[in-house]
Amino acid sequence: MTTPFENLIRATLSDLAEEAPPVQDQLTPAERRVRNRRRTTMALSAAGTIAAVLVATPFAIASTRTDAPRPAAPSARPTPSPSVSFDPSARPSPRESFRPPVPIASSTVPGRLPDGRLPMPAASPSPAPEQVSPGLRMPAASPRPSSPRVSPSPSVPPPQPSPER
Amino acid sequence: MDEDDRARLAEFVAGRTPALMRVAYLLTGDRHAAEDLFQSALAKTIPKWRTLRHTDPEGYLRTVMYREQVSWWRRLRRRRETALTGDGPIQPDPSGGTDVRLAMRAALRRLPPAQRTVLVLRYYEDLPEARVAEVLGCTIGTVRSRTHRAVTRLRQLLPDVELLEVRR
Repeated sequence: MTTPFENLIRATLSDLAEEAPPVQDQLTPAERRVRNRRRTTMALSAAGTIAAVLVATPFAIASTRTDAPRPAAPSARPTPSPSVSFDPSARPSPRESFRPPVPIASSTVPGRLPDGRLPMPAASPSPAPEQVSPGLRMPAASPRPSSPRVSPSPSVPPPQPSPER
Repeated sequence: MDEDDRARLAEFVAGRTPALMRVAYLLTGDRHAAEDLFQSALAKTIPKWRTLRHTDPEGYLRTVMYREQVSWWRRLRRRRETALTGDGPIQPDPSGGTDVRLAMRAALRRLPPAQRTVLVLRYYEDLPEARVAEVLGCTIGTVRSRTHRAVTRLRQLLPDVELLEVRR
């Protein structure tokens, strides 16, 4: 149902519409707006990409660095893994004052055990202290080359198996 | 856009600009704002002209204009409406309703763009509520509530209009 008030709204809107000013060519300025908008979009996209790169690059570089020291380069002489070469059941012979390092003297292939086998994959270069009882630890058989009692020189005779073994 | 598309676009703009400018003028209430609204809507239509030329480019352009006008209000851009007449009471004159029309025109320009857009679509374009809701991208309830608020606001702005009509 149309009220007089709504009729008045219609009439007023029609009057207003008739007063709309005539305009000239609107296509040219509209095309100019399209070009400007496209140019602005491209510029803003490039600026956003550059800003994202500038922000993300330091984080990416920082994420690749860690505080821990870098692992040492592999040495020419192999370092035996005590946890692998150590036999808990082995007991030092009473005639031997020390147990020479197992692999170095007789091993000709780096990274191999004295008998030529490859170490187990689960072998860890740092033996866990709770896995080896202090009584079984043999400090004289330190595999470190700096130990004066363990000479990796070939003059050291190959390890002699214990008669008990 | 090739030459054929551009020729069709120029023909469309030249043929439909007066009608579309009337709608833009009703929506904005100002000549310069109407031109700006029309050019802005046309600038959004031109990139899609290749897909619109075989469908309904005028409907698309009108929809862009309506939504752009409401969007301007939402984004609180600077108001482009011009200052209007004073708020004094409307006195009857013997000129045959001119005072009522002028008062209604001033009151229409004081409406928010969203409410004015609904009024233009409902009372100038004579679109049903469902079509208005589709054009504006809102629900029918929103259209009804906006229409009701707009009419109520007009009645508040023109308390003497119905009284003046009764006197005649």
